[in-house]
Amino acid sequence: MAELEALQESKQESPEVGPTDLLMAIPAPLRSNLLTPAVQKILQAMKLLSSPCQVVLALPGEHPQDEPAGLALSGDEPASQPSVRYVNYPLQATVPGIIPWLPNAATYREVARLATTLQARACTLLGTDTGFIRDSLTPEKLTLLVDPAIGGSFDLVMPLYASQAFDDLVNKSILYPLTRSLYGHRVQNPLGTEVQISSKMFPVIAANVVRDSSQQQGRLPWLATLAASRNLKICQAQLGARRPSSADGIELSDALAQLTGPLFLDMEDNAAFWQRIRGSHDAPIFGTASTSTEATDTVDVRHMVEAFLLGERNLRDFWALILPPVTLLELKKLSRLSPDEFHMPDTLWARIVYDFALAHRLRNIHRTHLFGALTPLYLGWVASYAVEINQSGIAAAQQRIEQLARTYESEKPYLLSRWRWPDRFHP
Amino acid sequence: MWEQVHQALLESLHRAVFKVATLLPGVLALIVALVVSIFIGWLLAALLRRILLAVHFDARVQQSGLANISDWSSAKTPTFLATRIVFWLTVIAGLFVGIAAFDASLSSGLSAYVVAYISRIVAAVVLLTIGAIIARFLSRSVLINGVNMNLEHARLLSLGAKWLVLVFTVAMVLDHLGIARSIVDLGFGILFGGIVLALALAVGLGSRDLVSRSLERDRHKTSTEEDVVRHF
Repeated sequence: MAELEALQESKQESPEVGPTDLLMAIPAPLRSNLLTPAVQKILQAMKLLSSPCQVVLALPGEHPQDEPAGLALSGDEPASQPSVRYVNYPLQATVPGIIPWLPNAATYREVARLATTLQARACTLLGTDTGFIRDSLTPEKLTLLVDPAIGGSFDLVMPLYASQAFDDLVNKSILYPLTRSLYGHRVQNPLGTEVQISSKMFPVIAANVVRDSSQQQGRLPWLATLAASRNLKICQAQLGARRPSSADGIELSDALAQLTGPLFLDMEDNAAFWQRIRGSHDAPIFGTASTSTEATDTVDVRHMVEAFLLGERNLRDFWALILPPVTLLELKKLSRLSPDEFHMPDTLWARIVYDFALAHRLRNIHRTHLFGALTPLYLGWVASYAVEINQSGIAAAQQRIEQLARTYESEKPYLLSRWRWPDRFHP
Repeated sequence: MWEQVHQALLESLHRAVFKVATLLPGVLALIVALVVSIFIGWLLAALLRRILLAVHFDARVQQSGLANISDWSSAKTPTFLATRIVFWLTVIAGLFVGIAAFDASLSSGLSAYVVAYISRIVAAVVLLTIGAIIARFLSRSVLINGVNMNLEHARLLSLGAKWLVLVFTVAMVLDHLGIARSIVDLGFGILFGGIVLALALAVGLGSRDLVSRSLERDRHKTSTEEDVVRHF
């Protein structure tokens, strides 16, 4: 019902840009020196598409149909060159202290409403990391992202980034294995920012964000979980390496709260759905991964182990509010290991994350404190992972993450028990 | 003479028994009022609990974003909080009725005095509760942030923050109750000033090496580990 209302609401105002197959939105203000190459890449990608389509490029701006300032395309384009028309949409101001590349829920809502208004068949969201658009996103990769949804085969195309062994560790340790275990889709970057959505997703996004906007304007739009919980078809596109621009000044505990908190909220919202899911299945991948055989860097884990030990000494009382006694005992045993042989079993880590998700729901402690208490445990996991992976190569790191994800799945009955009967574990 | 002593004792005993007999109905009325108010409070709380559960009050509060208020206190639901408030308000009302009945049997101005003072006590209890909640919240925040900043003495800092707030709260409560007001003012001023001075001296002199070591460790960590590891 809410989705229908959102759809009707968005159809009321329609900018006149003619028929549209594909809306391509860049949810970040681009400087003129970045805008021109980005548009050129889009034009080249359009030529590579399996079927020609009418494209509208949505850029942040105040006036709906202003030409983008600073755009200088060469005039000798052939006549067969697909044309791109422009439309502007209001961009939500970024909030200080938030990870800069994180997508904004309100912006996604605006884009979804615009795509509905234009009656587009699909919509591409190109993320806020302008460096990625400039350096890594080629027309070929853009085509991989656009083609599956414009052809109508898939409703959501998520990006698949090639990452180093020690990149994106919050995703590898929590976000990917948790979403995979909960929703049954092996989407490796569930919070990827370059995505393609089909028209089936527009009302879903608009309605979902409309509901959330009353209390949390900036709540992350988890498109992968939204699509999975509505049984929409998901696939992935290989987009190459992505090194997000620096997020200096953001504490790790704040980042954990910003990245993991919305997923925990999603768990509460979709509890009836994910409790029925068992196992997982692949989300088809388009494109080929660049294979690297070089050894990974070596990480000195002493500081991370020290952080874990400091947490174990001081935060035991907090952990006791969240974790069952057997887990506390395991952590106590871990604290006696030397940095070189530090090893946190996957089962233990998966159960810790599940317990924190439950504590988030039950509000055992203040939610800010919750992620603060998770931080030393997370650093303990990173230290354990680094001890195993140091100098082993990227393939070994990928296998390690796959093994962790399978453990999350095998431990899901533990989550179900705790979710349904939380008091049973706390005498 | 023994006759007079005997007479005096008898009169004294008679007066004491008379006094007790005069007080007894008031005391009984006070007890009855308390028992009845506890029963009514329990009844009202149970009724309210049923109603709130039926209308999914907890979920509604959570959706409205007001649930964050309960984060500051212990892990109780908004329904639990509401029923507790109703219960204790009823008991306090019963206490007032009991005191009024007690006072009527004494025919003195006690109830007016007690009622006036009870309102102060209630305000003091509220102050104390708020102070305790803030102290606990701050203490937890300092401890967790201290640990995440790799401060060895995070627990000490947390305890300091907690007791600072508690001492401040107790001083406010005593001042509000009018107990030894001048001593509290003076004592609190000396204590608070002393703590601040001691902290300044400790950080400025005693902890100089500790702070520099901590900063050095952070600088070293930044140059090695964070170049390779990217958390997000």
